[in-house]
Amino acid sequence: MKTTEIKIFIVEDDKFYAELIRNTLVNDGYKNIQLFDTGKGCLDYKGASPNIVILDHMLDQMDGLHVLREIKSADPLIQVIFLSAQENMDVVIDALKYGAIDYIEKTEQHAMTRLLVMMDKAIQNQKKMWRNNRIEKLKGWFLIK
Amino acid sequence: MSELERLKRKLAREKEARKEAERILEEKSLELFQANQELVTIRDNQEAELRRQIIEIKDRERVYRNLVENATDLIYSCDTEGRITYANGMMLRFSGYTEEELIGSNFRRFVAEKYRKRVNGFYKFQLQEKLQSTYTEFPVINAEGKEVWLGQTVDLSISEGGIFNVLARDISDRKRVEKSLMLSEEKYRSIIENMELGLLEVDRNGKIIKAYPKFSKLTGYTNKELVGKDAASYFLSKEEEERMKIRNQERLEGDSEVYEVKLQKKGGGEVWVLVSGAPYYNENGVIMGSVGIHLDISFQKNLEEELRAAKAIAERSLEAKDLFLANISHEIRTPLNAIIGISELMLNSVPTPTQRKYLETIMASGDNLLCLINEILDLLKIQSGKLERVKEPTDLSEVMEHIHRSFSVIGRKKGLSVNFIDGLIPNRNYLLDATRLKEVLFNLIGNAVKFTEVGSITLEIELISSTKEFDVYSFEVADTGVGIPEEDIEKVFNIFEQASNTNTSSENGTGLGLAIANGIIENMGGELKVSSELGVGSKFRFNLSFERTNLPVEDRSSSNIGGPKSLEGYRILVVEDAEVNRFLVNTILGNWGCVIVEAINGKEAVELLKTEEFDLILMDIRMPIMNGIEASKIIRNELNLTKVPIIALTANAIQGETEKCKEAGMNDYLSKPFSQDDFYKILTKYLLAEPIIPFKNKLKSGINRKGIDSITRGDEVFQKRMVNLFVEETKLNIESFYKAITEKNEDQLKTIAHTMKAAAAHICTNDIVVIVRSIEMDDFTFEDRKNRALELIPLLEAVIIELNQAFSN
Repeated sequence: MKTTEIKIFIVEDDKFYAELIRNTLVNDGYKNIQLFDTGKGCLDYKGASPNIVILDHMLDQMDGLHVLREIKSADPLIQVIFLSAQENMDVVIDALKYGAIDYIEKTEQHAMTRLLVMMDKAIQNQKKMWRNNRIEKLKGWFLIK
Repeated sequence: MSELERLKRKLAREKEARKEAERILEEKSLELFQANQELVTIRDNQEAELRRQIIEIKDRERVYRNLVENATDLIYSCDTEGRITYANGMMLRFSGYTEEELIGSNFRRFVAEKYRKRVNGFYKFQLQEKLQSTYTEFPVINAEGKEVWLGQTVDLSISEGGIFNVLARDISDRKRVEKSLMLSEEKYRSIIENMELGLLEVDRNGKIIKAYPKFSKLTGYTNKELVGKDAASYFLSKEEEERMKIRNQERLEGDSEVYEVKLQKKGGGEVWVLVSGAPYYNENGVIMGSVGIHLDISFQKNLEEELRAAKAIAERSLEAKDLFLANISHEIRTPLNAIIGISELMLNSVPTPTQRKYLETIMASGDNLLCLINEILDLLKIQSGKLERVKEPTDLSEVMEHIHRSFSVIGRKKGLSVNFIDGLIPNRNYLLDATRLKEVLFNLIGNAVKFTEVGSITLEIELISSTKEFDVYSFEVADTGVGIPEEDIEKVFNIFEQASNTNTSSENGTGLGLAIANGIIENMGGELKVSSELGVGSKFRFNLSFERTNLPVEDRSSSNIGGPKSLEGYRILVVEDAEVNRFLVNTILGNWGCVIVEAINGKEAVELLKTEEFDLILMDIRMPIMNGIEASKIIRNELNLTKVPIIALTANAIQGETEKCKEAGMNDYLSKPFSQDDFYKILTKYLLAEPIIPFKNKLKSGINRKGIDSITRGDEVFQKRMVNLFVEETKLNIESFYKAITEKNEDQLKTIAHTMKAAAAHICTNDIVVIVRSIEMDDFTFEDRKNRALELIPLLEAVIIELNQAFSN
C-alpha cells in the first residue's frame, strides 16, 4: 500500500496540535487525512474505515480511552496511536491495554519525530495483522471443505 | 211385614248403629290421646328451650355487667332529675361512696361548684331538645376531694321515660397538657409582645396575611390597611425591593435568615429593622408563606452611621498626618540634599586639613539626620500598617552577596573580623522585597557593629525547609559585643530604647534600627528572636519564607560603570525651582563636562523644549506654576518628544509618587538626596546605553526556537502556519483566562492550561511552560491558579509580540 493511500483520522480538539500533526504528516507524504474534534464525530463517520487513528485523550463528551475501545471493538485491525498531555501513566497503560499501538507525549520536544516513526510501525503492524487474518480465514476454509 | 219383624229389624239396625258409634268413639278417643301426647311433648320442649334461653341471657348479662362493672371508665345512669339509678364499680371508687349511698343521690353534687350551673343547663337542654347523644367536659370533685376533669358522653333513652346513660372518662392529663401548652403559648406571646417585635405574615406571593399590632406601630399602618397588599412594594424602596425578591425566594426554598432592611413608614419616614424571616408550613409540610419578625434597629443604625462618620474623620486625619509627615520630610530632605552635596563638592576642591575635618563632620551629621528621617518615616509606615512591600522576582544569592560586600566594608572600618556563612542557596528566584530584606539585615548588622568593640560579627543564612512553593531560610546575625542584660532583652525592640548599660556616646544611632527590623520582619511573616549573654555577645535570628518564582529577575543593574566616562558635550536640561539644588546639580554636571540649560519650573522647560533639543532632562517634581508631572505629560504627549529621557528628581516619600512619574512618561527617578555615584550611574544608563528602554521589564526571549524548528523541520511555510495558529489560539486562550478568572471558574482555568500545554511546549521557553503546567497542579486553590494565570498572561502577550516580529516576513 502506498503512503498516499493510507487513510488517517486525527481526533484532536486542540486546533494547534491537530494542525501540527496534519502538517507533519502531509510533509511526510500522507495525503488522505481527516480531522475530527470529537470522538463521537470520528465514530459516527460512516466513510471507509481508516487505517490509522491518531487519538487524543482529553476530548469533550467522550474521552480518548472510550473512543479507543469503540474503534477496537468495531475493527481490531485499525491502528490507533494515542496522544497524551496527561503525564498520567494510568491512562497511558490503559491505552496500551485496550490495543493502542503506542502513545505520544504531546509536550515532548521530539513528539513529531516519534509520530512519524510510529506511523511506519502502525503500517507494518496492520500489514502483519492482515496477513495473519487471511491465513486464519484460509485455514477455516480448508477445514470446512 | 210384621211388627215383630219390623221391631227385630229395628233392633238389629240399632244394634248395628251402636256398634258403629262405639267404633267411632274408640277411634276418636285414640286420636284424642295421641293429640294429647303430642301436646305434652311440645310443652316439654318449649320449657326446656325457655330455660336454656334464660340461662343464656343471664350469662350474657353477667358478661356485660362484668364489663360495665370492671370498666376503667365511669358508667352510670340518672333519671331526668339527675338522680343516680345505677353506678359501676369505677364510679363507686371514683366518688368514694358505697352503692347504697350513691343510688338515689344527685350527680350534680360531684360537679365542681363553679361548673354546676353550666353542666345543669347543658343536660336540661339535651332533655328538652331530645338530643340522643352529647359530649361535654367539666371538672368534678373526686373521693380525695381533688378536682378532676371528666369528658362525659351521655345517651338519652326516651323510651324508658327519660334515662341518661352516662359514660365518663378522666381527662385530667390531657387538660394539664393543654393548659401547659396554653401557658407556654401565652408566655411566648407575651415575650414577643414585650420585645417590641413586629410580626408580619405573608403568603407565597408576598401578599400580607396578617400584620401584628407591633408591626403596625412600627410602620404606622393598621392591619386592615395592610391585609392583602404586596409587602415589598408597600415598605421597600426600589433597590431594597430587588434584594428582597432574592431573599424571599431563598425563604421559600426553606432557608431562614436574618437581615437588615430599611422600611418606608406610612406618611414618609424610614425605619431600620432587623428581620428574621422563616417559612411556615401547613400540616402537610407544604410551605404556605413566611413570617417575618421585625426588630426596630434604627437607633443602632444611627449609631453605626455616626461611628462610620467618626471613623472616616479619624482616617482622614490620619491621612493628613501621613501627608504632613511626608511633606515635612520633603522640606527637610531638600536643604539636606544641598548640605550634603555641597560638602561633598567642597571636599573635592582640596580643602585644608581643618576644613576637611569640618566638612566631614557636616557630611556625617547630614547623613545621620537623613538616616533619622528615613527611619522615622519607615517606622511610621510600619506602625500604620502601610509598609509597602514590592515583591519582585529576586535572586537571593545576589542580595546576600551585596549585603556581604557592604557589611565587610562597615566591619573593616571598625577593625572587626566579619564572617559570612552562606549555606546552600539554591539557584532559584523568589518573589520578595529585596530592599526591605536588605534594610533588615543592614539594621541588624549595623546594630551589631555598633555594640561590638573587638571580635567578630557573623552573618549566617541557611535553607531550612522547602515546600512545593516556598523555601524557608533562617538568618542569623551574631556578634561578640557587650551583650544585652537579661532584663533589657524585652525592651530592645522598643522605640528609642537602647540597652541601658551600653556606652554609645561615641556612636550615632536613633535607636530605631531594631524596632524597624522587627517591624519589617513581622510584616514579612517572620519573628525576630534575640538571645544574648552579657559580655559574650548577642544573636539575632529570624526565619523567612520566600515564594518561589520562575519569572526572570528584572535587570536593574545599570549599564557598565567602568571608570567615569566623560559626559562631555551632552546637553542636559535641569528643571528645578530650588536655587541651591540647581547649583549643586549644575556644579556636578559641569565637572563631567555636560552643557547645562536651566529652567525654574515646568512651564519654562516646556517653552525651552519647543525650540531646543536636549539629550536628557532632569525634572524636579514639586515646582510652582507647573510641576514636573504635568510638564512631562506635555513633553511626551503634546510636544511629542518621546525619545528624550526624563529623570525625575524626587525628594518625596509619598507612596505612589514613582508610579505617577512612570505614568507621566518619565523614564526613571533619582531620590534626593543622591550621591554623585548614583547620579553618575543613572546619567550613564540613559546617555550611553542604547537603546533606551523606558521602565519596561527587559524580558529575555520567550520563544523556543529549537522547539519550533524541531516540529516543523525548518519548513518555513509550515513554521509560519503553526506560529499564526499559536498566536490566534493564544489570544483566545488569554481571553478565556480572563473570563475564567472573572467568573471564578477554576475548572476552566485548568482546562485552558491543559489545552495550551502541548502547544506551549513546542513554541515557548521552558519557564513559560512551567507556569502553564503549574496552573493545572492538583493541590492548587483557585487563587493559586488565578495568580499563575495572571503571571502567565503578560508573558504570553510578550511571546505573541515576539513571534509576530520574528515571523512577520
